[in-house]
Amino acid sequence: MKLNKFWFIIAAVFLIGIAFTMVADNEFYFYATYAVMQLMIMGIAWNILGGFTGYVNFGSGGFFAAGAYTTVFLHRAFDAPPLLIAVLVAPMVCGLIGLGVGYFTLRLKGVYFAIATLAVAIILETIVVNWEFVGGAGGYYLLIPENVVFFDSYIEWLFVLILAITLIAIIVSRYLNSSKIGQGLAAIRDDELAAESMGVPTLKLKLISTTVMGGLMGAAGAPFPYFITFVEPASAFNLLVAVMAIAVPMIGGTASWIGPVIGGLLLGTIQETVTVNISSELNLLIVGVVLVGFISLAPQGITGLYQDFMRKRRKGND
Amino acid sequence: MIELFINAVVAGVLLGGFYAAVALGLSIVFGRLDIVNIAHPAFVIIGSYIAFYVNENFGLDPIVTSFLFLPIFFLLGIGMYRFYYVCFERTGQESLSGLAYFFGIMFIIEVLIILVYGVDYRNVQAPYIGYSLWINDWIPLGGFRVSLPYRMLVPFVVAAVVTGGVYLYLSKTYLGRAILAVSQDRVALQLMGANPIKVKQWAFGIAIATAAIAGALLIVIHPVEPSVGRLYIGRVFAIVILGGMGSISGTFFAALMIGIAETLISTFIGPSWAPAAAYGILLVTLAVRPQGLFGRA
Amino acid sequence: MTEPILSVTNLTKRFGGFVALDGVNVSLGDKERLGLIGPNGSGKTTLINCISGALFNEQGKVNFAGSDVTGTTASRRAKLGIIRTFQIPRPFRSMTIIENLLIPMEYAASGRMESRNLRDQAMESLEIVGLQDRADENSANLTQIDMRRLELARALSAKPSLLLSDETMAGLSSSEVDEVLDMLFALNERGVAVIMIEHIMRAVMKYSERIVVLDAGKKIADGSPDEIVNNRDVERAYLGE
Repeated sequence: MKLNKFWFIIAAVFLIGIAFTMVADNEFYFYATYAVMQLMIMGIAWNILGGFTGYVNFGSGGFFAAGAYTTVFLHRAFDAPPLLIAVLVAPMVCGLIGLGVGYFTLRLKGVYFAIATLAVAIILETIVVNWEFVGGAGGYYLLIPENVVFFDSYIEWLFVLILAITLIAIIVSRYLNSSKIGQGLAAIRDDELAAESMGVPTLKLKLISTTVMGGLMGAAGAPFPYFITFVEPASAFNLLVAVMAIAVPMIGGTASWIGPVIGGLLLGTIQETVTVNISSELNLLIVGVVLVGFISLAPQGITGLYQDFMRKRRKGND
Repeated sequence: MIELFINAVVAGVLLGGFYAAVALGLSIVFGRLDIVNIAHPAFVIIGSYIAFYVNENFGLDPIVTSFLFLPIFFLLGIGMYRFYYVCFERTGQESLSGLAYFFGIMFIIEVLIILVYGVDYRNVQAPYIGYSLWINDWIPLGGFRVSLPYRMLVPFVVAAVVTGGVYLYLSKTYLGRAILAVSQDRVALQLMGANPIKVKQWAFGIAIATAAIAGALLIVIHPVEPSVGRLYIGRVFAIVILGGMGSISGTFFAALMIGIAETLISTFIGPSWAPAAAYGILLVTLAVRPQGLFGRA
Repeated sequence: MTEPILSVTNLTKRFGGFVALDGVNVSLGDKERLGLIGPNGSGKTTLINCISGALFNEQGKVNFAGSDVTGTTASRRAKLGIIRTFQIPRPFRSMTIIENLLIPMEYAASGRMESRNLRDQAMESLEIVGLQDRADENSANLTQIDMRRLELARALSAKPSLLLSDETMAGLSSSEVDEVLDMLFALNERGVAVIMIEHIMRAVMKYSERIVVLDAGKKIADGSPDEIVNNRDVERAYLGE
């Protein structure tokens, strides 16, 4: 996608989003699209470390929850500051955690790295469960402010906020994908030893990868407490978050920035439709089956299938 | 205080023995075949629920049930490996996709169980649950009372027997040694006439069969609900890695160590910190001595 | 000889209790062609790994172009100009042939590239190895000889001043060996010092200005090809007593 066209679409989407808040009257749409966009951000974040760099991690849920709990902490410690502050602080906190975790775990390869990230997430969860200040195991209630500037209701503000975060995530992801850094990450993914001997500073790039992933996940988690009004470790650190974060890019395609966007849209829409119309357990089952299906049969995801299709068409035309 | 400590250690040993049964399957599959079956605990939970079902409807002892179901689990293991081989090993995709694949399988299993049984805790009835063996009745311990609850002692004994059985099988029988060989040099194995795919398939079958037994032991020890499997992911990987990849005896001792560590932390610091124990040990092992205690370097 | 471009002093590398390299001393002049031979297991690849930074030596120093690079990362050394090829080629499989070359150009050679179009410069490297017509093909399914070519082209693109060639000719036919030899000569013409590990004796003899022989981690001979051929220790190392 050409650069000018890209920026045009980003700006257009944002403006449409704002226009939407002025026109729409049924709040359900905002809730539904919030969930879809949250999924997209999680998929984009995971894909930076998992798809671009090739380091599968199961602990991304931990960063999401860390973002949510940063908001909770600020809410309690500073008597409900504006959400915008949390949204700026959480990515920094989670980015730092990502950097720290990366520094200790990136020496491990493949499987060991994935399991180590899961271990880190569980340890984070255990810390939160035992931390009374943010509610411990019992959870934390949040009251949504009555009035909000510019918008008719708080959910409209949350919608615009998450839209902005999603667009930023897409911009960051696209930049990483197409830049020199992105090529270095791809080299690491293909063959880390060869990449290192060709001058790619593998540790530094991997750390950038984990930091960005942590930061974006934290950004996705920061507004979550306001969206859901009750935060508890069991749901914030739920394995479901980690599974979704993996499913979205695996279905959409891991090699480029656009895969998680497609995957997020697709999976998010399926989720919302099934949960509302059938049941939430069945929704989970569908997610799991679709994930396994794509992993086994179409590991390059939807974008991969599209590229194969285009390649075959080109060959047919020759 | 000392009595508390002794009881905690003893309970930890019993618990550890059970953990060994859970980790056994993963030790074979991950330690020997380099297949990251992160879904192994989910299969254990399936075993638990089958034991529950049979126990509730037919009154049969859960552990006996699991032995009856061994062939089915064995076949299930073979099927799982076949699919994995076709989709992943053959195409060389193991690293990224294989991991995520088992992650997805684990998730599907958990959701299926929720759909069928809901999220309530389930447990089993057996004549020995609820009773304890008091060591001080048999051996004078200078006033200390040390109890071995049967619901933990029986699983410990079964686990030890099964572990010992698998260990002997792997080291003494032809197929067992083929399993050990396939991880080290599959070409040499082929030259000696054994088919590596069939060998791996057999190994996977054995691993899932052990999950059936472990599941029954689990539900004897404490009530089970669908997400319990997740708690065990960290434990089993910690045990397999700590014990040394592929070493059955290492797995057993590592399991005991983790069982003791967890119980001590639970008793003296608090039960809400216990889940972090195994994961913490895992991270330390990975950082300090990744080949584990008994591992081949 | 002018200031050596590489000097390895008293290098010792251990794996647990096993001593793979024991007090090895090697130096290499600017633009020199050095052959590194020895029986299997003598430590040749380990030495290459220690020079390139893939492994870190426990004792001794590695000096390159006037600076001490002991303990620095392989990517750092690649940036300074130490480039190695792998015994078994390791292409970046998700990339096309020419994309493979972009990596060393953007990273290892980043200080040394001309400001022209990168793709043009990459094509020049491909022309030297004969892959220019297949630049946009995917690199995953190449024949052995083509993968070796790609490996060399990639090393070339990194603009090395020292190339460590690890058994690049293993398993190739006689005419293919000659092709690779020509490429390595061409590389040396452009001012690159080369250390060549090979078991194919005629290639080593033809190519090397000087040969170093390792046996069981120790250097047992260091001299011209004629001197090495007549060296009794070398004969003993290969053939036994």
